[in-house]
Amino acid sequence: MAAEVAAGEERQARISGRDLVRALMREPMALLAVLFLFCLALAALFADWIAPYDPLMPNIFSGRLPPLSEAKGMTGDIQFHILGTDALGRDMLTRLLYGAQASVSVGVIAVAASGTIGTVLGLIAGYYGGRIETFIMRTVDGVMAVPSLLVALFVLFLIGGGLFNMILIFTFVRWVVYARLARGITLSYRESSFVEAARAIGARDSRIIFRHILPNMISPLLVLATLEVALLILAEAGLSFLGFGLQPPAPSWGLMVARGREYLREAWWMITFPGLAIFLTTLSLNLLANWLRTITDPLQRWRWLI
Amino acid sequence: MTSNMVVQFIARRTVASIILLVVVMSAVFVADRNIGDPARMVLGDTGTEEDLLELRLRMGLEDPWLVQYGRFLAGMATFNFGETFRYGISKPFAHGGLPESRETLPIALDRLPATFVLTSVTIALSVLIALPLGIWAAVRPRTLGDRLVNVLSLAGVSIVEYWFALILILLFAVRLDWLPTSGYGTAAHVILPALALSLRPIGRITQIVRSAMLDEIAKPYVTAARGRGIPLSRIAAIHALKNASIPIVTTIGDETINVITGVIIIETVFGWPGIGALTVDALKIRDVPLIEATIFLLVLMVLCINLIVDLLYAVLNPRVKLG
Amino acid sequence: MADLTTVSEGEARLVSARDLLRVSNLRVRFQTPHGDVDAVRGISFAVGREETVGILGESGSGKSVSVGAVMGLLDSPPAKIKGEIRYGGLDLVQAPIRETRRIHGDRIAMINQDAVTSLNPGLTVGYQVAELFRVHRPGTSRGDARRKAAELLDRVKIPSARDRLNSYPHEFSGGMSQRVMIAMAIALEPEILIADEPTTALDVTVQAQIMQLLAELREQTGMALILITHDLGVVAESVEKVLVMYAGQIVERGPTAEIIDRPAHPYTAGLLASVPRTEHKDRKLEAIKGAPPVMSAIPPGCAFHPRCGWCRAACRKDAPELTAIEKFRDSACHFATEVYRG
Repeated sequence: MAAEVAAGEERQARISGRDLVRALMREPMALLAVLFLFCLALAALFADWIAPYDPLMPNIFSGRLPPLSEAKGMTGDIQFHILGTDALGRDMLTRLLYGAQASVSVGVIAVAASGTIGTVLGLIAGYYGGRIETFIMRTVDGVMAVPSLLVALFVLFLIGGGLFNMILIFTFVRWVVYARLARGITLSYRESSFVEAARAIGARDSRIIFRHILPNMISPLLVLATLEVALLILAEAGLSFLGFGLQPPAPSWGLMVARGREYLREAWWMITFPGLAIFLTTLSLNLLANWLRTITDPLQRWRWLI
Repeated sequence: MTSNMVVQFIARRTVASIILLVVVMSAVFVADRNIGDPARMVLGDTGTEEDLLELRLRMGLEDPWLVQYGRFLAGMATFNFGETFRYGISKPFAHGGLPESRETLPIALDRLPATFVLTSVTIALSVLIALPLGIWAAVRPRTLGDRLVNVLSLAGVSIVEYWFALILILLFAVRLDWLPTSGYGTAAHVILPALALSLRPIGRITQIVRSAMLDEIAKPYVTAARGRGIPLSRIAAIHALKNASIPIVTTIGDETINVITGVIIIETVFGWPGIGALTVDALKIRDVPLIEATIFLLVLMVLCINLIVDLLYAVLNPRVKLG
Repeated sequence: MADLTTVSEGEARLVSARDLLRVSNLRVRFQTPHGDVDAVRGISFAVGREETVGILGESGSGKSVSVGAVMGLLDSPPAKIKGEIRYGGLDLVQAPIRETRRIHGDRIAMINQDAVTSLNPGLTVGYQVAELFRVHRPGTSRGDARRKAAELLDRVKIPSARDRLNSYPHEFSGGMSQRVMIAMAIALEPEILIADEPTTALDVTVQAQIMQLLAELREQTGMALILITHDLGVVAESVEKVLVMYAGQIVERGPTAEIIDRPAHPYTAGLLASVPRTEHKDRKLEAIKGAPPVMSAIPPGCAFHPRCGWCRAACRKDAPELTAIEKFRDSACHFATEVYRG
């Protein structure tokens, strides 16, 4: 009962940028997540400048060194390995930074592609209805009924791994989640008064869809996309671990864990750090999505703002 | 809702599932014909042209495409995907002699009990932990306890299962030597793989239980029940949970499916003799009949779970519209 | 049942011979993202044994929030409750939930506005009624609880009550659902029944039936009734005493017949002028100008002044206190006597 009063007051108010910042400051976990993702994005973008050493070049002087070791480089200089080195003597920190590039680009590009395709198809299905809707939604049901990871595994087995193929297959299996969401929201707006009004003044369908309906689904789509980036980073790691994803010597977090597995007993740092990197990245994305969902929901938002 | 409607509903869903199974397996069939000559893969670099022809005849590869497809469909109906010449064959195909082979289905079926055990233990463990945790958090929104449950459940969803599995092995098997690193047979063997697999379902189910319960608790009937002096714990556990059960059951179903795909990796890590590890092995040695048999069984399991979830909807919601 | 009520009844007599429930200076403040909002701003009233009291006001006047506070339905956060709600020896504001829980639903029961959403859609009606006995009278057997539930449904005139125990709420009409709610409210023979707009969501014909049923049940049991409504007609027919609320405060109170006859507050007078009445057939209907204030922006001084024809400089500055103008008649207006004398 009390919550209804607070939510009722809140529903009238549109959320402002200042409210967002205020709510973020109230939620230290979400704030940390945003900061971490920001740093990660910088690291992935500028890995070439930040990374201390070469990610691919093996070094016979420094194989499997524990964290905080010093070793001679191939050119005779003294190298300091803050997170240790892998079996081929390559600096862990360097490879982690380049690994961020792979993980982030697979996640972000595949989500951008599948999100765009899925949203457009969902809007079309929801807005036009009829046979086109039946066709799109049957396809969605079919793709959804088979686990994505299984399809990805099989298709990558057929066409081979690698960054591009992974993005391709992830787009193919994940567009359906956006289509389902976009269709659901479109259906709820198709008969709404502002769409009726726009139609009455003769607005074209494309204008109604993209100007009137699409803006109303931005926040749920954003939440979904954030969750999907996390999901795809995990999927990339899993497939690369099995040997069907990115191929060595590419520095991928999943591959690094796979490699480290062989040295589980001797070199704990070889699996610990890449695994932690994946964990912190996906955790940050999930925290961010969770927070975004609450803050964009008028029925829940007040709890975060009072 | 009459029992007749339930039967009709199930019949309709079963037909849809079978159609989907045929579509998926047909795609697998087409794809498998394009990864190279299966007979050549059995022979490797050895073998003469006659050997190759003999093997191709034996494998039915010389038949017209449509005949092969018909045989494949018939095989699906009878759970028969032909014989493998690769998996578990100690003696490779020898010159002139009859090629040694094994039926694929018994190989795959042999692996089902192990996967079934692992999946059931994981899901049971997850539900037992997640359900009370989610309810507990939902009745105290924004308190320290709720925030803790929220962050921990998100952490469960964010973890890389096989990495966590390796860390578990490192800690409990290698360092502490409490549990076996891998294998199958005793209760001790199932602990680590089930633990590794259960983090994600625990996290997801907790999240859904919590948010579904929060939605329910905000509804007027909860306010009315509180006005009648009914303790919040009872309202949550009996009133709200019953109504929140649809999204919760959906999620438990989804997570069971996720675990079934998750076993592909986790079984490989723990050397667990299940269908998942077999699938990876079959893909790695490009053993076409075995790939088809394992994928068939995995997809079949997934569709069965979807069907069970649909059935539960009908049981749980007095107003469910079966359509 | 005696063992559950003797203590509180005894203590209630110490407080006052007649008062069952005494609300003193009740304030309810909600925290919202855009600052605090005062929904109830210091109201006091008492309800005596077998008394019928109406709380009249527009939506947002704080009437529902006030009874929400009485029923312990306001969570903190976002609600902050100040003041005292005394029932028997207990202050319902301060007392721990395990004590107030024994009062709510048992000694003080409530009927909500929308019966259809107030019933749990996932549980049978029989379960929901029987649950009251199982919770408040531990030791009641399952069979006994069901038997009593059937008797109750019969008492609120639900046809073939026993068969309907296994029905789900969606199989009931709005009027029947409200009867179920009433059955649950009277199940444990409460001393006070709070009815929050019990007929607003119903068809006109059903409204009369429900009010009739309430009146009959009250006659039989002698429970006190607090009726929350925005409908002057309902008040006139069913309660002896009325409190008029505006912007979280009581602006006028007194015996119903007298207030309807001679209002002592411009707001009450405005309400009366906006309702058609048989005894003044030729009178023109007048709506009160303007809209009730939103809770977050209550005007200074007298909250009603922007809509008031009597408004003078003092009204914009000083909030009038609720003061007696005659025996049993109070009004919170600087010009109460003038309004009263017409």
